[in-house]
Parts: sequence; C-alpha cells; structure tokens
Amino acid sequence: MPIRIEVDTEKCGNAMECKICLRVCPQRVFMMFPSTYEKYKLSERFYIRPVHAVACVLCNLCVEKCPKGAIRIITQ
Amino acid sequence: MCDWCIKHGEGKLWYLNAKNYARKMYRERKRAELTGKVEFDPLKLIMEQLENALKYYGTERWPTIKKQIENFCHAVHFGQVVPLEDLKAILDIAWPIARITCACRRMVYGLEDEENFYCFGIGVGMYKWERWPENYRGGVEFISPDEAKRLVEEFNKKGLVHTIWVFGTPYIGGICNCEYPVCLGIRNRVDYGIKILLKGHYVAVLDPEKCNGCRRCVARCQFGAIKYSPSMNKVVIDMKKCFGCGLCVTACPRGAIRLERREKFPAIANDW
Ligand code: SF4
Ligand code: SF4
Ligand code: SF4
Ligand code: SF4
Repeated sequence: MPIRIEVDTEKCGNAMECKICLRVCPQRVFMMFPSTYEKYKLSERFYIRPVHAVACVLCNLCVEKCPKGAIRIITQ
Repeated sequence: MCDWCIKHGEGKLWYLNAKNYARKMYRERKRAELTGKVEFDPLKLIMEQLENALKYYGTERWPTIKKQIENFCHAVHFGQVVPLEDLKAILDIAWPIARITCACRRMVYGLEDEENFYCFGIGVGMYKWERWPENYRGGVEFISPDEAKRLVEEFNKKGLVHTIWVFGTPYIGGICNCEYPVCLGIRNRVDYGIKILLKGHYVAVLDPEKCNGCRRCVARCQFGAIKYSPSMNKVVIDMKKCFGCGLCVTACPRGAIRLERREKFPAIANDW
C-alpha cells in the first residue's frame, strides 16, 4: 500500500525542543535536519522529514503522540 | 582487493595507507571545494540526494537512480566496515584524533549531545572544526591514540560496528561506531541496497564442531547474517550477508568463529 506521510513544519515549530516522533516511531521513519547551515553558526531551528516513509507500518503512534498534531498519514 | 585498494592502496589495504590521511589529501580536498567539484559539506549533500532518491524506491526508475546515488557517494562520501584489529592499526597512523558527536544518532534518535559521543573525526581538517559548528554539535575533544583504542574496545563490547568514512575520496576523515537502523550507512545498505557503506575485507567463518548453540553471536550481528537452527542447536553464517565486522568473533565464548580474508572465497571475493 503506498503511504504518504506529511509533517507540517509550521505546526511542529522547532523540532529540537520536542523530538517525540523520532523516539516513538518503531520503524525510525523520521529524521531531524538543521534549518540553516552556515559557517561559524549553529542552527537554531530543526525540522522533521519522513525520510524512510517506505518503512512505515501504519502503527499510527506518531500521529497520536505528536503534541502539535503536525503529522498526517495518507494512504492511497 | 576492493577498487579503493587498487586505486589508493599502494599494495596495502587502502585504509592502512598513511597517504589517505595525509595533509596533501586535505589540500586536494580544499582545492576540489574551491573549484566547486566537491561541496563544502558532503554529509548534507548526500542526505538531500538520498532523500530524493528514496522517493523512487520500488519504482521502475529505481535501478538507475540507485546507480546514480552510488556513483555520487563513491566520489564524495562513503564508508567501509573495518574489524577492531584493523581499526586499531588505523588509530596508529591517523592524526589527530578527535571525539565528536554522531550526526546519525542526533538526526534519527534525537540523542542529546552529552550522550552522543560515538564518532571520531580524524586528520588535520579537524583543527578547523570551529568553522562548521553545526557538524560538530557538542564540540570536539582531541584524544591520544591510546585513549581512542580504549574507547573503540568499549564500543566493540557494546556491539557497535566500526566503519571508516571518506570526505572527498580517498581522504578518510571519520570513524564511526554504528548500529542498525540508526546508522544511515547500514540502513541505506541493508534496507535499500545502496552501496554507501561497503562490506569489509573479511568474512566470518564458523567451526560448527565448536559451536554449542548459545546464540550470543546472533544478537551481535547488525546485518542479519547469523541464523540459529533449533534442531541442530548450532548457528549458520550466511557469508553473502556478512560484512566482516568481527563482532560475532569477539562475542563467541567457544572461539568457534574466525575472520578470514574475503579474497579466499571466489564467490564473494569481489562482493563489496
Ligand atoms: S505510523 Fe508508526 S511506523 Fe508509520 S511513521 Fe508513524 S510511528 Fe512510524
Ligand atoms: S512529534 Fe510533532 S511536534 Fe514533536 S518534533 Fe515530531 S512533528 Fe514536531
Ligand atoms: S557465540 Fe559461538 S558458540 Fe555461541 S552460538 Fe555463536 S558460534 Fe556458537
Ligand atoms: S556474521 Fe559476524 S562478522 Fe559477519 S557481519 Fe555478522 S557479526 Fe559481523
């Protein structure tokens, strides 16, 4: 079954302050990236991407546990 | 011999050739960066390309896309599995050695910096780490080869696979201590078959007479190469799946597993 996972980065805000989806997903579907990448500077914000979406088993934990309601799973 | 030994080994295993850690290589990398051939941050570049590539996984275009991403990795950033003994030899020739946090564990597990010092940055490029603080979140700590050897022994006990990584081929700039699925090298190789991480120069060989079926080795294998047979009360090792990390060897209480050079077995001699 083709699965699409959408993460609303606006709703999520700064993922570094939460990281719940990274911790609960049994398939480790999500990854957190720095929003800026500059010389001599640390990134202040981070965002989530469902990089390994093909590994998702539809357990729905990420959707349930995300405190900001930022994750949607769409099955086609 | 793997391609990198042929091109960069000068008769040795390529990662034991001191030239691949030398300043000259670093300068060449700089030059490549300046002429725009290699982007300043191989890691970020590869991540973006991988994510794009994975969108095609399972489609008709996948074999072509996979080949493209592999070629790109092999020019810029790829890794190879090394067993503990070879890693210790590397720690004697690579200088300086710095403890750094693991980018994969930060991005995938969300580990905090304090609990995330699993990797080493090596080579003179490390002296300029402060230019790219985002790559070195949590800072760096320069350590002696002896301290590094002590740490990798600890990581080995924990069950972590040792890997070396190039940053602009063939400049070896990183050593990681990895596990599936958090290590993106292992994950991309095992789940999608992308050769961003190459098999090592060894393969595990079992002496079935000595094996008593205790299964300690099974839990140590990050590559799913060891299976336990209840009726035989012994394990079997799938040499085609084995990456030659040697973790099963160090765990076996009966000395039933040894590492042999891959070349000895024609069917897998060139299977990297
Ligand atoms: S539904 Fe489950 S497996 Fe799929 S991404 Fe969410 S937590 Fe991971
Ligand atoms: S759980 Fe939701 S809010 Fe938290 S990091 Fe993930 S997407 Fe963002
Ligand atoms: S650890 Fe050694 S004795 Fe135990 S199952 Fe593996 S090979 Fe056999
Ligand atoms: S069989 Fe042993 S040497 Fe081979 S990959 Fe598994 S743990 Fe490593």
